[in-house]
Amino acid sequence: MKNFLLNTVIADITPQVTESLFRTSGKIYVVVGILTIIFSLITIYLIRLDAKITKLETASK
Amino acid sequence: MAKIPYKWYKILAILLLGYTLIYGLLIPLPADVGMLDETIRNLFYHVPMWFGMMIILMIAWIYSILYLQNQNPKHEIIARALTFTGILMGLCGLFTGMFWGYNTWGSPWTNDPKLNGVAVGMTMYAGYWLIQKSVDDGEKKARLASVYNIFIFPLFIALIFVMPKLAKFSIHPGSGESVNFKTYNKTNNMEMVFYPAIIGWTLFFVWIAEIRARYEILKQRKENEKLFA
Amino acid sequence: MVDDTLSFLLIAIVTGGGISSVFTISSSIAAKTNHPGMLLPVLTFPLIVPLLLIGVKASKKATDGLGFMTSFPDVLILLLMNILIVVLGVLLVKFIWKE
Repeated sequence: MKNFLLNTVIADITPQVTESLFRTSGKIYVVVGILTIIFSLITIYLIRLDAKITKLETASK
Repeated sequence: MAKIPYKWYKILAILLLGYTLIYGLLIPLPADVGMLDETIRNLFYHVPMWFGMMIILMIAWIYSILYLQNQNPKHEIIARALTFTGILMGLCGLFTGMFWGYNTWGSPWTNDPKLNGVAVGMTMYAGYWLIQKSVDDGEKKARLASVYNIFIFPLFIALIFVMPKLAKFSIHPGSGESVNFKTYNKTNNMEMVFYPAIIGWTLFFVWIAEIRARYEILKQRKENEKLFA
Repeated sequence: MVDDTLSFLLIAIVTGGGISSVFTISSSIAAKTNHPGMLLPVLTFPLIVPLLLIGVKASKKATDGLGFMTSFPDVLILLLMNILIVVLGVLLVKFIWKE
């Protein structure tokens, strides 16, 4: 019983341990920011491509 | 028409992918993922490639059947665009998987039923591409490619779903008696990112396929105009 | 030598039937292209790999004499794949040979 309780406690606190290791430097936010920039640029590119094709489609009708 | 008349699916794709990219990196992880550690976040980027590939190839399969039924060239163009997008997703999944495997298993390629099945499946679709390249007549090319596509999809499914289940042991999760999603701690909230990730990636690649199909249809129309002008 | 001749023969027939039906379809596709000789192995090889893998595994069990029940699931899957390939082939062949 005691062992079980101990295990659940460990399971409860361990995520925070790894997480703090992951985030202590705070540098992960830099990676998130860069990914966001890349993704938004790709998205803008796709939207513009889509608009260009729509224009061509309406022109050739 | 190749253009999907709903704009909202593109917006949904962007929103879901943005959520996946940002929250997938920041989400707290369960403690019991073992040697995978932080790389378990690849679940939101590597695995949806395969799910999306299956969905997109299945839609392509349906469009191939439709083409053979009513001989509408647009259906074949859509099927081709979807199949090539599916292959692109498969290659993304293959390379991300190799990179992930190199950093966790220690080698980019293990002799595993799932990996070998996917490699053979990609060779099948390379055959689809070769048929497109080695027939000149447009109508015949469309017919042969559709027939081959209809023929290989069920075998591909058999290869990557049935074969790994038959294998006694597989190092890759989700096959045989190895680990899968359910073995991880129930307290985790990874599923909250995983399912949106699948939908988001799939819709994003459907969008790419749509643009490709529309381009091909425009090209076809231009050529026809030149022919009859 | 082969311990379980009867099941070995059964596996050989089922595997061979599957491989020959795959070859029938894919060679009729390849015959219609510009480079039939080059395209035939490329189109066919990936399609027969699942059949070969299951067939080899099952016939290994038969040669070791493990009894028919051990290789029964493999034979069943091979049979199902045979049916799938033959049905698809019968349905699709008219689209391949239409001129």
